[in-house]
Amino acid sequence: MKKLIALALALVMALALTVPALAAEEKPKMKLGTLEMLSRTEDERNSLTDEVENSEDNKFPLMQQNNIQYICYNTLSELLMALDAGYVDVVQADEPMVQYVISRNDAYAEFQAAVEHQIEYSMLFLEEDGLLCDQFSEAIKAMKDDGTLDTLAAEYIDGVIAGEDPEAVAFPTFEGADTVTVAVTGDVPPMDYVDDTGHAAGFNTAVLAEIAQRLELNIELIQVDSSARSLALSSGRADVAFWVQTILTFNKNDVPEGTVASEPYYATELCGLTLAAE
Amino acid sequence: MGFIENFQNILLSGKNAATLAAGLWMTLKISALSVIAGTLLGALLCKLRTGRFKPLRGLAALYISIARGTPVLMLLMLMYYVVFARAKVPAYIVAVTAFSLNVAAYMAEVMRTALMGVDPGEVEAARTLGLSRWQAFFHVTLPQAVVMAKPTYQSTIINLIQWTSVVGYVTITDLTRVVNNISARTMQPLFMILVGMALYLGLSYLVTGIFCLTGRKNDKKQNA
Repeated sequence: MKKLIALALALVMALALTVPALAAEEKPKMKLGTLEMLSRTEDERNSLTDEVENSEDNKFPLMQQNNIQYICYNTLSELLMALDAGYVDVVQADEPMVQYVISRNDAYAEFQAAVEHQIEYSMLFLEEDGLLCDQFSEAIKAMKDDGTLDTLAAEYIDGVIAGEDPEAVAFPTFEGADTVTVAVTGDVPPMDYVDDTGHAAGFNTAVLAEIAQRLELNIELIQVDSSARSLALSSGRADVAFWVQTILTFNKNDVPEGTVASEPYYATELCGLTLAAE
Repeated sequence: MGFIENFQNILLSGKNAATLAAGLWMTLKISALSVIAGTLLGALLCKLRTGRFKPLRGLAALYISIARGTPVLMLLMLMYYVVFARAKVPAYIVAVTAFSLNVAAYMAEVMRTALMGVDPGEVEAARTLGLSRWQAFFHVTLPQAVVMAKPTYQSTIINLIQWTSVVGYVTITDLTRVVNNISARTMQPLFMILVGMALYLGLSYLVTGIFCLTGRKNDKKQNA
């Protein structure tokens, strides 16, 4: 009798576990690898995605057709290895990064269904450094207006993707001027990487050098782990960190608490990367 | 791209090899300085842990349990981002301090275990023969304790070298960081991981080789 009751209970539990799971499997599940965000954990990101998927305002084709599950990784290299190993189906990254990967490794291809999220590159400051943030924003606006940002993007983003290898920018020095410490990660080419001589290179540092020139500031670069950027800011080790904001209808304030972001200096969209067909 | 092509394109062309060498040197520097400072601090901790003064013995035991029970990465980040946050101390010195504090706890236990392994009867015999306490320690206890401690000491050093791979968190460009930088730029993460593993393996064989050499020297001395 005891065995029969145990068997019945086990059956009930198995049904309870499988029926809702089967019911939920309406859309195919897609594991989307993405870079870790400082402003949101993986779980928060997934519950936000669930909200969008189930809302009537869902205007993202990928989310309409698939049940998206985000899996966060720290670096682009880790993302690529996760893709190779089959832990994720698609890597979601910004367009220059996707183009850079494809240009350097023919094992990867662009994922055709665009994710259609806009992203903007800006710089992150502590709220107490708001004045410095404003100065940076003014310089960025001026660089937008006079076309400097476009010129730099052509050289340091399009050029690098096309196979050129521009030298790491040299930062100007101003005697007696303030020194601003900037945290770079070196993980996201062509925006932020370390060249073969060990110097920080890429579009971000090129923009930074131009801002330093205009504001007459000395710049000191430190390379930190991507997840340690907010710690570097809050501890005072760094005054500025590079930041990417996702521009979504459901997300207006995409910065970690206690920080402010400068005027964006580059806008692009998120793309997908997958394994190239054999 | 195949392994040979990656080897040629990444390691033989450009300046990647030189950058890797610089990273390797940083790993070696942090490890070597931490071993020296950690051994000295460990010896002091061992002395306190085995001493007669009870409060100090308890304090040493508490320190050892905390240092061995917490991840060295947490200690490193605490030192860099909190304790030395506003100080203008080079990052690698902060790393050496954190690793020394951590490894000292392990060294202290290695030394204590080795000292406890020496037969007290031999020390008593030496004292009976007229040797002072220090003479008995240096001529009877220490040589035997060193032989007993050597394998664990060697393992601790090899472990330490591997633990240092987290120093990238505190802005230091060590071997792991260089490997990550090159893999991010070349988009060949798997190849670079293998290169990194080979270099760390080389370092651990270097340590093993040094210990083998010192072992042979001692054997020769004993045979002479």
